[in-house]
Amino acid sequence: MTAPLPSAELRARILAKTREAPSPTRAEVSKKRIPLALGALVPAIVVVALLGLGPKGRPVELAVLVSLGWAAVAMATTSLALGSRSPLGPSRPVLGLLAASAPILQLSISALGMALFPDTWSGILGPKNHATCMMLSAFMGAAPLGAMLFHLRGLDPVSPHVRGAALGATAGAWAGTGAMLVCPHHGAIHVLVGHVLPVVLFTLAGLVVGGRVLALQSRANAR
Amino acid sequence: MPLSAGATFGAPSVFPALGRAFSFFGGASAATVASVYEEGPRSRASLAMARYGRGDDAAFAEVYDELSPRLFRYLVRLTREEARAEDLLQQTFLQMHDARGRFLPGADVVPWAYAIARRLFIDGTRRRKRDHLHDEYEDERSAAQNTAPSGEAVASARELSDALRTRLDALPELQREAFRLVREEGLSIAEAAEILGVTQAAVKLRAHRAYESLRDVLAELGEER
Repeated sequence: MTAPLPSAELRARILAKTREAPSPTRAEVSKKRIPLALGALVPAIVVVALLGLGPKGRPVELAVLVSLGWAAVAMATTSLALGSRSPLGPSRPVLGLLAASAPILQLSISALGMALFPDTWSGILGPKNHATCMMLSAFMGAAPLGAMLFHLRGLDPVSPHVRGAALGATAGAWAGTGAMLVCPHHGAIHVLVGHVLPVVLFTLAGLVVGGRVLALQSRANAR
Repeated sequence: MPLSAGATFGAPSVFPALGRAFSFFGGASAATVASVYEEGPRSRASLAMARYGRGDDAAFAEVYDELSPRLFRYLVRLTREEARAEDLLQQTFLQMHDARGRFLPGADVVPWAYAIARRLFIDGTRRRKRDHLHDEYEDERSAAQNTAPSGEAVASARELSDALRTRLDALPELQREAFRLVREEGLSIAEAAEILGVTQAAVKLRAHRAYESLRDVLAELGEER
């Protein structure tokens, strides 16, 4: 018994459809990425321009250590989430691990900093201080997350939710790094609530929104 | 010595993933990235898809000709309806066409195409509100084919086929899918893992469990006779 083959008519129809509705080439897609990426950076640039960089009451070494550490985690997260050569992206276990580990690693770096500078463990700060950093993180991270989701929308046939979570963790990690650069506060509770919690919330937002936005969209009535 | 994507961004070549990640933000021209990966040993379909992504419109026919027979066979096995398989095949290729600008040279087009086809089948099946995924398993027909096709032999083969299909249908989805991709489609463990979004160890384990389960069916039928 011979294996079934698609009809010649189907081949002609598919090739005709691709000619009727051309899709963007790699060069065209690359061109579109640039304004998207620049747009994603605008909130962070605005925040830094308005608030300025610096230790701001924290020990300089602590500020440098924590900021560099958070940036390293954000870089690694970006590399793993977006750096796959496969059009399917990284595997689901890698993405899941990435989404789970980004906030934990960043918390660990802050904990290390606080262990090296024990005076910074405590600090009496009101909810307003925590909320300010949360808002800053949300402001800086929403645009990168939106840009990544927009760019990859409707393309993931395997694990859109987990990939969304990984992208959320990536955006959150960068937003947390930005907030860490301008934040004048320290203290375990503040780091946890004002800085690490937003990373977790971005991860969850990516999980929920990404699942819908990234999932492969089937073409109804393709015929 | 082949370049790495990382080198195009001034990053050490040991960090190609980082280089590719930053290409997401427009850090390198498409031509640069394309030249970097063109050397990888890939199937003709993957090379054709890379050319298509670069703008060679004629290459899509080559991609189609390379992939469509096996994808169609896979979809017919899934759907057990040639008309529906053709519809899904068309959707699969149109999805690949839409996403051509995101296909990096050096990537493997086969797992991607299978993953799209599989997802479209699952979504379509859910939409139709079918009770279960359809399947077809015919590999064990040779015993019946080696003998004269008497009525008894045909009935026996059908019984065997039905029993195997029933058992395959009853398996957990990932076991069934792993078995189908590796044993029926002849894909590598790595390709099946990419399509299913799980580790290679998980694919091996699940395909093996499915195989063991089907072997039990054969043993049970053998004892009954």
